[in-house]
Amino acid sequence: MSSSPAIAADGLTKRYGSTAAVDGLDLSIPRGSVYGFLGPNGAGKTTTMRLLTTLTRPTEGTASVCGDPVTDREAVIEHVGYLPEVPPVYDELTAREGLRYVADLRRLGDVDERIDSYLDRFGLADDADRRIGTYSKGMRQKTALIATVLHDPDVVFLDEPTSGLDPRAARTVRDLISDLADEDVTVFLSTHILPVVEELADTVGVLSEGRLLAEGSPESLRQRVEGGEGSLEDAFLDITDGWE
Amino acid sequence: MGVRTDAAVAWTVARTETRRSLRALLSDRRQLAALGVAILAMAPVLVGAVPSLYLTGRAVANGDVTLSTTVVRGQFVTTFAGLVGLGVIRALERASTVDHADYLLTAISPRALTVGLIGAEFLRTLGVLGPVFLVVYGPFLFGLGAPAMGGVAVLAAVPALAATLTVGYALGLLVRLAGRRFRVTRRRGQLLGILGAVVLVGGTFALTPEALAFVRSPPPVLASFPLSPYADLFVLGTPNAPPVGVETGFGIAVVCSLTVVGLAASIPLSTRLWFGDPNRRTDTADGDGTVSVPGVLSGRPLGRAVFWLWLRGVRAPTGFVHLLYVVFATFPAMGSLAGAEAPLLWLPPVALGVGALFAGATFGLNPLGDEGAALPTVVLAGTAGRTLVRARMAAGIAPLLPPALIIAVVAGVVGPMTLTTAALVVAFGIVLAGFSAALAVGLGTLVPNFESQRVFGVEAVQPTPWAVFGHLFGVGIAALVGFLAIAAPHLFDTPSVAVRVLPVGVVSALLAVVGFVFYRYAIRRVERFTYE
Repeated sequence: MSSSPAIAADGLTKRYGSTAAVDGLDLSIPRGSVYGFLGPNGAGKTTTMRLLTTLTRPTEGTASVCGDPVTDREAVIEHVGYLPEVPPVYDELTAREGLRYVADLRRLGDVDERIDSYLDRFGLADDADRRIGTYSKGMRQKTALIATVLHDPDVVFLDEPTSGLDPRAARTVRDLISDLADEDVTVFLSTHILPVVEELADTVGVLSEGRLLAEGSPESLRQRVEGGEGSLEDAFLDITDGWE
Repeated sequence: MGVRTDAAVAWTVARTETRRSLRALLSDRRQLAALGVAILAMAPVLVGAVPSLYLTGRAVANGDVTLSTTVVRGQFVTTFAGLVGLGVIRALERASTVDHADYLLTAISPRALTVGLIGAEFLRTLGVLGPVFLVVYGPFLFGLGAPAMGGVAVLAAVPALAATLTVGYALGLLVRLAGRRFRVTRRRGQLLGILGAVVLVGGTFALTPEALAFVRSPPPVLASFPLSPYADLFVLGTPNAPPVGVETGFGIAVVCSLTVVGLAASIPLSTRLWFGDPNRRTDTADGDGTVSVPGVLSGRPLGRAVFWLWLRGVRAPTGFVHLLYVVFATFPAMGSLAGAEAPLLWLPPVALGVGALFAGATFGLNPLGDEGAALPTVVLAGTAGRTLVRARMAAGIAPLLPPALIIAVVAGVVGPMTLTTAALVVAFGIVLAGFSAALAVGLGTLVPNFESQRVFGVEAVQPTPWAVFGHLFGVGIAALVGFLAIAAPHLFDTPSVAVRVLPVGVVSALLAVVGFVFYRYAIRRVERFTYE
């Protein structure tokens, strides 16, 4: 395996007209780490994820995933799994069918055992043959999460994976993220739920108005406020104060 | 809440809903374009009718034409019934559905909401039909020399419209409740609605002269309906018009009573609809259970991708509602075929032309938008570009071309066509289907649509009108040119095989090249798709 960072960005910029959604972003995220990506609404988090997953073209700057430039989709998509904020599932298929379809798209061959294992792990085994259209939000999210990791990606981009989930479902997602990190998978985690980041992230980046305002371990960010006795939430508010 | 409060709230709801509809129309370029096309299509008809309506008015004023009270009353009853039907369709389609129902129903009374929604429907319909009414009725009154009568006509039209829409609304609610009672799932209900639309439009093409005569001179029995004397208000002041009297008053009372009855029925019905148990089981009872890719398709990625498209299509048929445009566009050809002297001669090209249209339009016109929220997964799945495009072409061609080919071959053999001509028609039909499928995916990726919208009362992500009509136009022209190229050599005496093959061969080669360009473009678009 190459020694290049899992995710690297140098002056990554995305402009829409005169508005910079992402402005000169520099990143270097080592492999096997969990990177918590924080920012207020409209900060540019989703745009950054789309840039890094090749779904949006950068206006300026460069970025790479596992050493492959984000301008080379064919190469990058071999490495990544992306869970957008809206679960990418087909309502008219059952969970099992949907996952088999994704496996077909990725030419994964026979992955039924693997699918069953994930369904079981996520508590979806009993509902796997029901249409996703009848699922709760948590069940849809878990199905989408399985689809995201089914092909064993090196880097997983998760956009608000625990948003709107009940505590049990959120716990399952957090456990998966933790397990992925243990398996040397890099997780790029965007969320508003700061305790999740505090619990899981090795490094936290705070984005506002497209610019990376702060980066470091959760502990180092907490140190920035009230003599290190504040929470990550306090640190986040302190860092983004005046930027919103 | 008191009646006065409810009335005030209802008025607020009616105004707000009307304003929302208007703003939605003005902010949606697609709807504006469709409206523009409708106006452009209708304007010549209406403007062309103005002189004859004026002259009719003059003729009535001069006594050259005598308006028959029986006919006018019968026509009023027919029009009334038609507008009630419109009210039913609107109630089923949209008007009885509340946006943000949970909020509204906990904030205001069902009575106020029902009256408000009916009021909004009244204002919307008035906005559409009002100008048409004025354009049709105004010249008649000017010709009559009594333009001031327009005021009376307008005053008469407003309560009549209110009565039709209110009764139609109540009947629409009854139909929805009946659907719930008999466990008609949402999907089946929408399918029934689509089939109804097809029958309705197909029926208008099948209108015989006798049916049109019914509209011009309705059966006298209609004039004996209690509400028919209301029609006298529209011809007030014309020579031989029946005098306003007890009979007219009775007609007015009936029309006004219908409004009251419609409202009185709508309020409990809508309350029952909104607060009743929607019976979720019926909404999901279309069958659970996982199916696997059948053996015949499982061997190759393309086969599996086609299977998934078919499965999704069968389970969510509302995604095919755009095909109604294709159905409607092919009605004239079908009608001509039915009326042709030698239908078996025309059947092969018509069957293949229609088959080719559907083969492309069924799965190909919105490859990116049809993936919905799953598009990022599809785009990031490696070889999905080629697979997706080819699958969408094959998914339409595989089930739709063979039946057209069978019809063409049988009609070609049995009918008056020579075997050589039949063979050329069939061969060109196959090329046309491939071209149609390639054109569809090309246009569909060129102008994709990702937003869900309501088409013929069905909410779904649909192809853009540009893609649908561009495809119709492209395949239509290609079919016309190709089949003409087959027919043209017959203008010569005993043309040689080479002379007969050459023109259609050139057309086919051209379609193959153009189709390939669209096919490559579609693959490129899918593989390089980005959110910009």
